[in-house]
Amino acid sequence: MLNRTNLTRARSLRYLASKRFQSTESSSTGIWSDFSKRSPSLKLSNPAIKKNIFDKIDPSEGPASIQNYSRRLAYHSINEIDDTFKVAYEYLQEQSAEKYQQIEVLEKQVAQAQSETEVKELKDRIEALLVEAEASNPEVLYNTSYLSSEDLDKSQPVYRQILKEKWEAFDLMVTMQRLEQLHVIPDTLPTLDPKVDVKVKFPHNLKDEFSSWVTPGEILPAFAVSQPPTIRIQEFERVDQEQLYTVVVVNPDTPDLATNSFSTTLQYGLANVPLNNVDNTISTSTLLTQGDSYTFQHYIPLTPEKNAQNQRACLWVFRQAKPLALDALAGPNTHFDIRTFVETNSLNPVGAHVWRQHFDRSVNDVRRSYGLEKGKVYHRVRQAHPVI
Amino acid sequence: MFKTIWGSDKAVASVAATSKIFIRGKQKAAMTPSTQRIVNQLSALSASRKQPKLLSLCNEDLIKNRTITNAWNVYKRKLFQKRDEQFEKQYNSIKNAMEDLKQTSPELFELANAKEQKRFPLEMRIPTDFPPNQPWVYNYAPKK
Repeated sequence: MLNRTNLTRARSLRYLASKRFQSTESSSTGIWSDFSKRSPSLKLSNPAIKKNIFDKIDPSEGPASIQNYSRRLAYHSINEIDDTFKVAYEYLQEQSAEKYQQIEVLEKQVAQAQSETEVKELKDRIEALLVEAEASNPEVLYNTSYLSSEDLDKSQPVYRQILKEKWEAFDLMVTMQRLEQLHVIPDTLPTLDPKVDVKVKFPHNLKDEFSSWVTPGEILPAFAVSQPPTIRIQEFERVDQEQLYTVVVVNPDTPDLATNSFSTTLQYGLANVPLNNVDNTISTSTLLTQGDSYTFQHYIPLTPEKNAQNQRACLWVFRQAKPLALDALAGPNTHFDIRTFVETNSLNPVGAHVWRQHFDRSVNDVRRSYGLEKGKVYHRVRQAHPVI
Repeated sequence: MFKTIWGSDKAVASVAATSKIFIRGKQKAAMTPSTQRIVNQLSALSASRKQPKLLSLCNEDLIKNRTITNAWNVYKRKLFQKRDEQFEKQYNSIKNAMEDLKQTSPELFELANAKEQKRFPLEMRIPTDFPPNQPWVYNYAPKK
């Protein structure tokens, strides 16, 4: 099927080529091989694979992306694919060059723009054009398809756009499902309009099981969350100036005996954290060097009592409109009202994450290490419907 | 003349002659031994084996294929855009001409927009299983 469609396209595109590209011999003169203005992160870094894409795959060596030697030698490429690719590449490159010409015109307009809104509008248009100009570049396609998201340069709009699409296709849906199923929405905040990808991990763990990124809603043992988490906040929109973030972790399932109900406890609070598209992680090193200037509530892990229900650690990420005074934010962490906190500080919730905990045999050790009092033991409450 | 309960002996004989030819069920063409052998071989294979083999391409070729597809889509889109622009121009010029005619000569405009008399109106014949009792209406006048 693929072979046949390629053949028909090869014929049509070759006809197009005979009409349009009679003079173009080599493909190394276009906009996609000119890195005087474009970022080198748009390049395909592996030279062997690049050679395979732009020249023919040598049948005596095979494609460089296949590791196994015998499989590499046995590989057969599709008929006509290299010639067709050359024509297609030239055609797309020409379209891209037109986009870059439009961008140049817009950049001149930016230099002459009067108001800030006008500048922002123009920059948004430039960014959209940059995405269009690079989205079909085969080198960019290769990088986004086969490199991990960590290796992509997030300062490039095209990579951010593709990462956003990937996020919306899976991670965002998982996060929103868990937030709704576990009633983080509306138990903590009424709703969430997600704008950023929030990822959490606890790098102090040695086991791979606990040291990798936490899936939202996962139940974690107390020892695995005993140190403050590394939080990655990936912005997909362009961050022109410095953007400040507030991060809180709340536990809305703290047993409240006085009211025979539950109350919310603030477990962790950071404010005025400056992040941008590239520098997007609140890591251990950030906390060690600048932790004091960000922290208004030091991290206390959740330590659920014996026979208490599963407790949710709800992590919320807010964009700040203005810098906040840390002294004003600090206060008692019990009976924390997150809705008033958000309203008084005019915070904009842009992302959230959740993990769960219940009593396990590491809870008492964690309590001891944080100097907390001995935990209570509640009566076991059997559920109305037994698990069959 | 010998008569049976079914009719004349001639009729019975004709029925007997046709019943010899009649075969119940779907009629199959006779297969050559080589075709029969292939059919037997295929019937022994499972359905998944009979599917054409999926092409497993290397990453480089997949990227090349996607680039070709992208170029093809852009090329087709440009063609369609060009055609749509042409249609829009044509429509606008027709519209302008008619507006012009309406202003200059309303009679000619009326004539140009007069509805064509349909030679075979739809109500003349509707699809039925049998021909109508009155197959042709000679003094037909269209409904007004």
